[in-house]
Amino acid sequence: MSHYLFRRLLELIPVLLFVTLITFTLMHLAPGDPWDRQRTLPPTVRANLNAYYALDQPLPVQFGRYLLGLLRGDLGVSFSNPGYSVQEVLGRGIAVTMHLGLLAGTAAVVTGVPLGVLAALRQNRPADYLSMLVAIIGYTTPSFVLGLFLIVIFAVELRWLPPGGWGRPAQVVLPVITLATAPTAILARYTRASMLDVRDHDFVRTAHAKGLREYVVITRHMLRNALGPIITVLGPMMAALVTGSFVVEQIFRIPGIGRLYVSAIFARDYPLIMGTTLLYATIVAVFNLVVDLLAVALDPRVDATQGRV
Amino acid sequence: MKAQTTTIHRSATRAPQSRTFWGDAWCRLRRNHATMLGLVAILLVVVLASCAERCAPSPYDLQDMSATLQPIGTPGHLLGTDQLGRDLLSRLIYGARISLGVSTLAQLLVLLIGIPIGLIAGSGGRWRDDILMRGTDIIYAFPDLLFVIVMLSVLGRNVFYVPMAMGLISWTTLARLVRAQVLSLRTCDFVLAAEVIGVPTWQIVLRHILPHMLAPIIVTVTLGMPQFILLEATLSFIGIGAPPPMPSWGLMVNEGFTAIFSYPHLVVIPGSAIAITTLSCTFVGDGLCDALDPRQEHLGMDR
Repeated sequence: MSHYLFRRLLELIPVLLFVTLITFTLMHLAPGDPWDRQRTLPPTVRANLNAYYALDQPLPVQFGRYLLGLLRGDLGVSFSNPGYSVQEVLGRGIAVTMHLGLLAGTAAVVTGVPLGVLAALRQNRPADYLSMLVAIIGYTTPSFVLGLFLIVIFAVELRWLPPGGWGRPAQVVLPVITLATAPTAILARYTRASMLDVRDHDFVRTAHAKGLREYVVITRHMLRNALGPIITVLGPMMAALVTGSFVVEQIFRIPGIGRLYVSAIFARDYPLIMGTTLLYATIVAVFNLVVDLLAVALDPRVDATQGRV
Repeated sequence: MKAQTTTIHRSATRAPQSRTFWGDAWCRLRRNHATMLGLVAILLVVVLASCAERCAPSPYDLQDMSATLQPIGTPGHLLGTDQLGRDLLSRLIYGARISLGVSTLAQLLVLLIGIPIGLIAGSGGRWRDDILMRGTDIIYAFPDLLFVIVMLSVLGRNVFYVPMAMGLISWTTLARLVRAQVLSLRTCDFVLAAEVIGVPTWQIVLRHILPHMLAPIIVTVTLGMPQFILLEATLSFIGIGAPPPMPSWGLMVNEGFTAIFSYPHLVVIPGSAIAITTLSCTFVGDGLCDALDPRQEHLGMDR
């Protein structure tokens, strides 16, 4: 197990290295430079700035310097947030984004799984159709449309909740609902399919036959065995929640890394773009790793040394 | 008319027809009401999009400053007008072209990259497989939306670059699927038989293996469509997709956003268009999945 974990972590290094290289290349191919946005600078000032941030060096040298910095845990200085290092800017943003993502993920699990179980138990009956219809609508409605409607209904018409911002607990509610809807729908569908798969197994009949209460059969016997496929979607789902909060952060004016990233792109803030991409890629990789480990822990039949196909 | 009656006659008298895999699938598909409904809706959108010039009451960028922000049901403007007096129905119809066009082009690119890579990785030697799959892992690790945004900032703001960026990052799932299929089909008897009589590998792959995995490929592509439609709308909404005055549905939501409190229909209409189209695609994809692989309980979308 620890051997497997070690190998997976080792495999992560080239992946992250290439992600860094691709981002670096693309970024420098993009037209414009960090100083375009400010008022027109005299060429000498521009040259001085370039020299100060080592942007006048050949690209391979710049990339090498960046990698050396990475080894020391130094992500550079943010151009668009003068006086702050990329670590500081990202540190503030990631706390907000993770907070939002984890809340939304929890909300999705807590509502999506029971919804799927309910649908499976009432297969092809009104409750099933209704919950699957809700799930499919939740999945296909764009989050920005949903978010806007929540604002109009709950913030403008009813005045129950604030329309945006960050810091007070009430400001969390609407973004979390917006962000959680799609993953809730996906989870509900997976749970339903997975529950239907285990429903007809012998061990379920045995559990019923020996007179266990319905509740125990469902939670301990069926759901426990149906968890495998559900766990495997959790990884990409959590990653999507953290990386996909862009739009939600824009609509609700939340100072997370999604908003940072978009503004960094427009400002050609090279170090911040690199840092964000690397952070995102690491998060995605870590979530996938955790999920693979969970799958092994839950189902001894899954061979850890095989990894994924 | 005469030809039609003879065909009906012929098929009626013919001995029990042998049922092909695809005929069978079509029978199952037809029984699925949600799928048929989705199919009809998609066909309608496709027709509207392809002859937008004829269907739309006015050009998408025609401004009428004397009739701005008209409500739904205004004579001459069935769905009303926006802040610049542009007819919403016309913009919606032209928008279907962008939405479907972008997602179709992106899927085409996914097929063009994903299938060859999957085939080569699955059928080539260990060495090729390793290199291609490590490459796939790297692209897979790249957060999709980030890649698309960086890519678009490199290429500039143009509708044709949107599907390019989307396709370049999204082929990994298909490549993995194709590779896994090749690996499992390679041990089948008919492939071994072909190998024994000396059919070259590339011919085995193209003529014997590839046709067998059409069903899962079709399902993946259909279920990928709604995701691309959503992605295009999202990009346009953030302001890096189709440039104005193009009537992308996401852009329309973005433009309606500023007036949402007084004129919610500016957001409701394009928003519903996105939701209905993606919903229809999902229905069709689900139905295809059940029809093409009746044994396997379908697990919905990944990612």
